[in-house]
Order: sequence, then structure tokens, then C-alpha cells
Amino acid sequence: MKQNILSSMWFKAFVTILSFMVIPIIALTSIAQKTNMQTSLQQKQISDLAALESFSNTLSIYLNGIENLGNSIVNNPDIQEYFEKNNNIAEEKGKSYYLQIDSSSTFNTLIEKEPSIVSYSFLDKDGYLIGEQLLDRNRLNWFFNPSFFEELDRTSANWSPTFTISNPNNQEKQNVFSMLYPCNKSSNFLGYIVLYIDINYLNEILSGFTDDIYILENSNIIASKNNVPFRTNLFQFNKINYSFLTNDSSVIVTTSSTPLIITTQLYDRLNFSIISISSYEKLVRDVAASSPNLFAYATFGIIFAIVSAFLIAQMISRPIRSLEKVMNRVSDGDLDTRFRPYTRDEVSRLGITFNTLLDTIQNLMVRERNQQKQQQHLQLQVVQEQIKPHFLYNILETISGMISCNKKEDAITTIQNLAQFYRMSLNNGKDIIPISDEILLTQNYLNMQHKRYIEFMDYVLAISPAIYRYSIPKLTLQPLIENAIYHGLKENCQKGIVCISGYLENNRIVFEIYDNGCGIEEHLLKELADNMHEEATTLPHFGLSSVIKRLNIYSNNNATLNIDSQLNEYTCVTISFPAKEDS
Amino acid sequence: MIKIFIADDEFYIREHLKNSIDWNSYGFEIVGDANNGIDAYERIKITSPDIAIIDISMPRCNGLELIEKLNKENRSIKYIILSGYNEFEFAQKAIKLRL
Repeated sequence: MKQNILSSMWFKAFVTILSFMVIPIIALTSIAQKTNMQTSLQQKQISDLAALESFSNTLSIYLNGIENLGNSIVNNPDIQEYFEKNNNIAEEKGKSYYLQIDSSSTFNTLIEKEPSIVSYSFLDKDGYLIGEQLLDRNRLNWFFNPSFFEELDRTSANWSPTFTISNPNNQEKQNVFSMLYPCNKSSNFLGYIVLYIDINYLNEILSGFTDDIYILENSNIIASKNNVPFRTNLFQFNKINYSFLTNDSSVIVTTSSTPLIITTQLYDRLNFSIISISSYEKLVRDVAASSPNLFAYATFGIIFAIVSAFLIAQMISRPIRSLEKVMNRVSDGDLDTRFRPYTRDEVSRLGITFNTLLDTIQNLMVRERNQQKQQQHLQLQVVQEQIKPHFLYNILETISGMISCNKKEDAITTIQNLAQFYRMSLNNGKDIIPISDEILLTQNYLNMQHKRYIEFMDYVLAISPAIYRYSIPKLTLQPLIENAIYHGLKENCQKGIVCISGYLENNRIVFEIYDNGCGIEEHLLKELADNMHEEATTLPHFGLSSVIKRLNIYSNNNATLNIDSQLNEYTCVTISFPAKEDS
Repeated sequence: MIKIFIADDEFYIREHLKNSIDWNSYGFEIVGDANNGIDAYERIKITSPDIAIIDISMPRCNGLELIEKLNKENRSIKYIILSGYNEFEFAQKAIKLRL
């Protein structure tokens, strides 16, 4: 039988085992990959924060340097004297005096060491610019307004937000943030020295870092590694909404183009935010590049799973396929083939049971064949019995004798008996006939034998009409009667009687053939009983075995034959078989 | 007259043998008959026939046994054996053995 491979047991086992192996491999690989990604992200955040921290430290060191510079400037006696002198003059002449003096080149040596400081200014104790001739005073006055001035600390350094200074002579503008350092002499507040620091210096510090770091004031970029224009809005720059950012942590923000990892740290000394921006995809690529082994292991695992599943499926399905092959051979007619079990599993037990079944079938077939052969043999015997040439020859001789003795009536009757006997026994070749026909046949036979052995026998035929409608194998009674005549009555050499009775008992047909002849010797009786079912055709009573075999075939081994005898007294043969109506 | 004895187990066969031939006109005389071997032996001893027509199959003592028994007594009897269809070979064998 041709079968679809998709519905085969092999395929089902293969797919099941493969699924059980491959699904965990894929799941574990995926989990490992995700864990790897998360670990990498955490590592990335830590390293980004460390970079920001490092930048903060660098910036702090720088600012500390500036503060130290400021401190050294305000403690300089010349400076203190400059503040005291000008404060005193302004008190006499008014603040407009400051416009007449020029402080721009007085103390240049103080700031020469620090190139990031682009300029400096002096503010008196009330916040007025002293001798500012270099920078645009209006712009500075607007920035250092009284409300700004009130919030300043008069004991330590103050840092301002970023702003723009300009030179009124050449209109050159510069973006700066500033430090205002207070100058005190004997707890007497004199004013502030203002140092302007070029914002570009932050870019210079940033250039020493590999990370993409931006410095924000509010949400505007004031310094960056890649020199983004001053005060570019972060959202305008790369569509990142500043409000999403949290200090000292990382977020993954999906912008219009690609997802970004943004780490933020607040630098509160200058009220700046420092952010580091890196590509999430690059991280994914880096992780993938650093963990190719994971995919290689998964691939090896899957290949191993396929091979294992194939081998296990083979192992499971092999006994069944072998059994199937045996069964196919059997269905093709080869009953000698047998399943050879290699294991002790259920399939092998099934195969052994199948072998037993085959043995039984073969035995049954042999028995059936033998039975058919026997039946054919018996049928042939019956045919021989029917036409019995020597009987015909003898009976014709008898008829001839009758005629020569002028026993015309007897001759006619005998010829009629003979004719009827042959007509009934041939009976269109049918082997099973109604009992009524068998009785008629027997009657004719008995009549003829009675005529032949008129000196030896008489007969009585006592049959219950109730059994006429049942059936019987043809010529069952004739061999038994023949035995009674030849081996019972004739051997006695005096006139005897054959009684044939037939009746129904417990739904079985019973026939008794009795003769008061010479009887059977005890040892012979025993031998007969022993050989009843053998092919004992050499025995003088061979008719018995033929009768019982035919009855057993007819009644499915439900027939019996008994011989009862007393030497020199009688013999009684009883046969019995289930009553079956003639179909 | 040549004396003839007939031994056969069938009544009508014996009668047929007696009636079918006019024995007297050919110089024969039927001196007796029997329907079994033992009776035949007794009667042959009494009647001393020249020819005995004997059926090979007879009850109690068959034809061959009867002839054997009579031969042992050195009687000068010629035998005619009657045999049935299925006894012919048996009879031939008996003749070869000069029973």
C-alpha cells in the first residue's frame, strides 16, 4: 500500500522530536540574546555615565582652577587697593567717574596664564562697572542688573549662565559664561572681579572625549564635540524632547530616524546638563558582532537536533516498518514469511503475536486442505460405492437365476429395486439428501440383498416419519447394513435378522443397525473402536471409518458412532448426528 | 455319469447353475449343493463328486480353504472356481499356488 510520507509514523516522530529539541534551543538562544543585549545596554549606560562623570570632573578641575585664579586676584593688594581707591573716588564724584578711567589693560598679566579667559571686568560693591572701556557696557549692565546682583554670594565664587559679550569698536561678539569672585578686605566688601570664559573652551575639553557629549543649558546646546551652533535647541537638532530625559540615567528614545541611547547627568555648579548620545543600532551591531558564537552554537544545536530526531525516528519506526513489510508480504500471499523481533518492545510482541496468528492460519489451511482432500477421497469412495461393479454384476447374476428359475415376479421386483437404487444413489450428484430418500435407497438395497441371501437373512426397517424431513449424507446406512449382512449374518450360516431403526432424540438423528449374527470378538471390537478414525481401509470394516468421517464433515465434528456386540449373539452399530433440515 | 457338486452362498445362483444347463443330456449328474463351506465339505465327503463348482467367497470357510481341505484328503476331484468381479485376482493367485 502506497502511503503519504506526511502521514507516516516516521515523519510524526521526526517532527515531534525535532520540535521538542529545536523550540527550546531557539527560545534559549533568543533569551540569551536578549539578556546579552540588556547586559550590554546596562554596560553602555554605566560606561556613558562614567564618561560624563569623567567630563564633569575635568570641568570641575578647570573651574576650580579659575576659582583659585579669582581668589588669588582678589587677594592681590594692588587689586584691593584699586577697588578701595575707585570706590572712594566714586563716592565723592559719583559713579560716572568709572567711565573716565580704563581698567582694561591694567591687570592683563593676571589672566595671561589662562587663555580660556577672554576678558575681565570689575564691579564695585553696588554692581557698577569700573573703568570698562573694552566691552559693550550696555549689554553688560543689562546682564548684571540689580536683581542678578542681589542673588550673588559675597563670600565665594559665583558662576553665571551663558551670555554674549561684544566689542563696541569692532562689533565682535563672543559667547561666554562668567565667574564673579567677591573681593573683601578686613570683612569689608569691595566688589567683584568678573572673568569671562570663552564657551568654545568647553568644546576643547570635549574634544578629549570619544563619546558624543553635548552640554545643555535649559534645552539648548551650548557646547558639543561636533561644534553644533551655539544654543541650538536639542529638539530642533535631533528631535529629542528634553523633558523625556532624566538625570543620571539612560533612556532609549526613538527619534524619527533611529533609536538613540541618551544618558543624562546634571552639572549643577553651572546649572548645565551633560548628555551623551549614542546609536542603539550600533550597540545592537556591536552586541551581535561580539556574540557570533551564540548563533553558531544555536546552529550546531539545530543541526544536532535534526540528526538526533532523524535517528530516533528511524529507531522508533524501524520495527513497525519491518512488521509492515512482513504484513505486506503476507497480504501478497507469502504465508511462510515471519517477523523477526530484534527488540523486546511492544512492536516486537505484536510481531510475535502476528507470527502466532500466521502459524494458526497456516495450520488451519493445512487442516482445511487435508479435509478437502479427505472429502474428495470420501466422495470418490461414495461414487465407487454407488456404482459398485461387482454388486451390479452379482445382482444381475441373481436376476438371471430368478428368471431361469421362473421366478418372474421376483426378477421384476429386483430389477425395479436395482433401478430405483441406482436412480436414488446417483441423485444428480448431490451428496446430501433427505432422510426419506436415504430410507428408500436402503429399502431397495435391503430388498435386493434379501433376495440374494434368502437363506441367511430377514430384515426389519423401523423409521420414525418425524425424521424424514431432515437430511443425511447419501449412502450413510448402506455400508453399515452391508457389514451386518456379510460379517454378521452370513458368517453364522443360519437365518438371522437385520433391524434398522431411526428416530429423533434431543434434536439429534439416531440410527441403530442391529443384527443377531456372529457378533464381534472382544479384541477385534477394541481394535475397531481404536481405528475408527484412521484411514483403516485395510480392515474388513473399512466402511465404518468412511461413514463416521463423512458424518463428521457434514455435522462439523458432531457425529458419533458406537459399536456394541456380544460374540455369537448380536452386533449393534449406533450412529448419531445433529438434526439439520434438508435445504 | 459324471457327478457334479455345487457350492455357492446365493440360492438363485445355485438354482441358475442347475437350471441353465441340461446336465443329464451331457452325461452329468448334480449330486448335491451347499450354501456355505462347512456344509459343502461334509456333503462332498458323502457324495464324492467328480467335479465341484465352488464359489470362492462363502461364509465360514471360503472356496479356497474348502479346496485346500479336500486336497489334503487326496480326493480326485476337479474344481471349477466361481469368482466375483473383485475376487478374480485372488482366484488366479490360488491357481498359481496349485491349491
